[in-house]
Amino acid sequence: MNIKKLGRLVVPYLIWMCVLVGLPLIIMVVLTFLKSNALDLSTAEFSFDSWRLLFSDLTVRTALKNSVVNAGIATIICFIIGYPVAYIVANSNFSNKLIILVLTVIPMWSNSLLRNNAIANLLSERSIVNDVLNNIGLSFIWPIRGVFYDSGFSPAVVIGLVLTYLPFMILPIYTVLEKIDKSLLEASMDLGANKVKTFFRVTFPLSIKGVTTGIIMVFLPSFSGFAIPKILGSGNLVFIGTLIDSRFMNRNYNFGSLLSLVILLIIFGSMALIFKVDKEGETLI
Amino acid sequence: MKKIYLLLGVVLTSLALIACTSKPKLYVLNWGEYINEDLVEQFENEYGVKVVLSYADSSEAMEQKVKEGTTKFDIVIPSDYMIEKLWDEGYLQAIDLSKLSNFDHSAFVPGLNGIMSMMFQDNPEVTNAYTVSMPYFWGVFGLMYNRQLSGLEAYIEANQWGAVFEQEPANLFTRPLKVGMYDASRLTYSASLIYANDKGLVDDQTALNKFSTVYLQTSEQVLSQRSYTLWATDMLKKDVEAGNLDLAFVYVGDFFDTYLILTENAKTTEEATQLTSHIGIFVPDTTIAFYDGMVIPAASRNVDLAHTFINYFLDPEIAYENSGIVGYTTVLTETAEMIKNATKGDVIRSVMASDYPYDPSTIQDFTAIPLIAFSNADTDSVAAMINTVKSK
Amino acid sequence: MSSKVLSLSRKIVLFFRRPKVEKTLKITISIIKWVFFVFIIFLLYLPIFIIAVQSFNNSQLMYDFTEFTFKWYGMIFQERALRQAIMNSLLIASLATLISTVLGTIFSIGIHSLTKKRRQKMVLLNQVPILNADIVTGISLMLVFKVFMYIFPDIFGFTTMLLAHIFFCLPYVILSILPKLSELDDNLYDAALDLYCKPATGILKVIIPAISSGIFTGMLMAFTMSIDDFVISYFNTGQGFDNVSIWIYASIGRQMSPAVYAYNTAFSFLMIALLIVISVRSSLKKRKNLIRFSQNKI
Repeated sequence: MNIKKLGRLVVPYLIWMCVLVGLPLIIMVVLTFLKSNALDLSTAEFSFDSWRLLFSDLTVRTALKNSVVNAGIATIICFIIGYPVAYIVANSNFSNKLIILVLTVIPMWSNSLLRNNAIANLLSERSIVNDVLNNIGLSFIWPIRGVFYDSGFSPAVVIGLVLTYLPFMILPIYTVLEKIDKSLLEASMDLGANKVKTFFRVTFPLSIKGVTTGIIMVFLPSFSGFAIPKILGSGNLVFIGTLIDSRFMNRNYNFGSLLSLVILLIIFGSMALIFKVDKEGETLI
Repeated sequence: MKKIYLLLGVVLTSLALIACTSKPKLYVLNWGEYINEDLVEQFENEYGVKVVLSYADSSEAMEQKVKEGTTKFDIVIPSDYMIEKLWDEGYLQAIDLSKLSNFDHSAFVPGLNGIMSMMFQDNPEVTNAYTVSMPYFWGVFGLMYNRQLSGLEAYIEANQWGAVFEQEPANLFTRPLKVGMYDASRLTYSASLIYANDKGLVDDQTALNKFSTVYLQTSEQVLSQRSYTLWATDMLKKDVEAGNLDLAFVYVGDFFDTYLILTENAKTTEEATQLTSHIGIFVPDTTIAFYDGMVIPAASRNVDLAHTFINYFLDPEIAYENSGIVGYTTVLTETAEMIKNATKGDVIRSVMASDYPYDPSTIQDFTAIPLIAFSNADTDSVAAMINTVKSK
Repeated sequence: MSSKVLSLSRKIVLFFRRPKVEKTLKITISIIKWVFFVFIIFLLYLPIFIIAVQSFNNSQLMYDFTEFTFKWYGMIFQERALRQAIMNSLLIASLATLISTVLGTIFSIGIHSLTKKRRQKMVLLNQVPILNADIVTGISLMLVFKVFMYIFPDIFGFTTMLLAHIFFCLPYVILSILPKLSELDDNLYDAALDLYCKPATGILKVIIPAISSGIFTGMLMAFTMSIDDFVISYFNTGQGFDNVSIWIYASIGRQMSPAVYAYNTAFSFLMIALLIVISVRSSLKKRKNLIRFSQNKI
């Protein structure tokens, strides 16, 4: 097998990943134990301040809560909407490739910030949709923007997250559903199960792989994002992403790094989960 | 397939050619919508250079960008208190006044000197504030409001800063007020302390320029008195104009910016009045004054060109063209005269200059106090306090 | 009581089992299904549609549609900051796509030829940039480049942004190529080498043509990801080298020039047109080959 000799082609990639993934990880871990002015090591001193702040600061707790609440709700909605859509596409007679393109890739050629700004505009009391509707004699008020509950739940942010990340839920589920052997379903029907039973006993368990990936692919960016909460959150909501951004902008690399590591911990957990269900990473795109 | 590669190659090379020019580059860090870009183009053509503009939405953001050092800016335009801080920390270099042919001490409007003289009081080495920064625009802060909500104008006049910081009495208006707050911690902190002084919560006229844990608590208390529909910077003026906010704490210049955009196509003053009848601006009795000045960071590599750029905008004619887009108050006496007398047939701007608190030095019935810089640790504490207010 | 409920439920079930009812039920369900599907697509495209409406609006104000105009399309390259941002975005996206496609193909062949255990480990490592939060990726890269800055003081700007984009585009290319490689018969490459092909020629002439559809998908993914990226670019830019997303983020609170809506709409349409042309051409080619094949058979 001559092809096995090509393994050395990986070496540059391994080095590249070590420098760009491993090195920053080390820098971040070191930074959390320091009190420094950005990366200036000459004035840095050893300190546990960042760690103390992580467990005592009210803002961190609120930011974590807000991020979990909004990202969680967005993920659930994405799943409820995304699964049926993926199921419909997988079982349709259309050219699936085209539908998947329409559903996932084409919206991404529109800038995501601009799309969220359009959503913000749509949810304002005076929006272009209202204006056009007013011109034809319809009145429509949808003042969701600015509504803000003590729970940290912001409907506008959740709408933005769902419309931005829904494709990432549909795609992996579709990939798995399409690969299910149709003869399994026939066998189930032949053995007397009805459609509903077949779905819950055969189809759904077989699609768990895609569901896991989908949930992670929606939850992680929703949880850590900072542009969408900033555009749609009316500046009232502190998110973990906005907090990290503001820490780095204030040159507090120490606390910023620590918060990044918290996110990274969640990500490594998710990766372990995905590795368990999908070793070849085929549901990821 | 070969054709596609060829096409790709052509596109790439042309893009690369457009992207890289061998002309000397001038890196400018500015506020958004704070320069007439036609003038920048004119400057580029006149001197055969390329100006690279970057934007920031607060003095603090400018400070970070200068300190990060990832871009070696040649010109930055922060506000007064930040200029002083950056100078004291050694991030700026002195402006060589002999290189500025348009510079003249007496060319600046009188009110500006009040702010300039407040700076560097504890730094005897700086004898002339103009060697640190060259004033660009100046102004005060005010409250921009929705004129169509009946009773709001009277309510703001009676309550001053209280209109923003207090929960309005129930049933005074047909619906609850939608209030916007400026999301730049230093400004929010100072405004809340002006209010606290007005109400007797603190007994100190200069509280807005002091940092202490007591004042921090007072500020937090004031900011917690009501909830805000929107915390933002530049977005506030847009939302007041659109009717999504009733009242917001903004730069007075922001109001005129909006005014200029709305009256862009107006031919007569009547038409202009009608187009802007839904928004108003009110300046409280005590408010914050500021000027934004052009400074040259120590890391600048194109110091001579930076001087040329500063000199260019000191030309009264150029400053006149610039103020037509920006809406903030000019710092040059000659330009101010040109606007007031509408020597260029610009009716709308002459109305603006006479009817509204456009020129802070002509209005006597309010006190405007410039800000003084806080240390890094204090700035961080104030920012953390604002986050706590939002987290409640 | 319970027997009553039971008989009632049986009755209901029997009612739905009646052929006529069953048929109408089936039709209703399929109608609901497609209405739901179309509604979701409508929601996904609603923001894009609003952007398109804005691009034809004569007024700068976001809430006021005055009259229909094409003027913003003419303004796309008039606004200097926007023009520069568009140039930067396109330059970075094309270069990052090109480089990551070439490197990604080579690396995937390398990964494919590893033993199973090692391959899985590499795939896992490859997932890091995909699954990692954008903000953490952006900050990590920034920290590394900051360290490099001690050696190359002017690294921030074009160089850092290009490297960052290659970093997050590569995994997508690799992930789209790997499945195609596993479909490939490894013996083909052996046969090529047996016929005295050099390894490089073998890869170029045997492996690459077989995985070309995967390479194309990877290229498409890389370009899409690169052109839409905000967070990673935001942390790794410098020297005023802003892309469209950074420009939008800086302008979003202000009276953003509607030319950006025009650009966005025009760009989407150009890409869709390009995609249609490519797919039509490839299907034409397939048909031609098919005809030739059948003619040869006869």
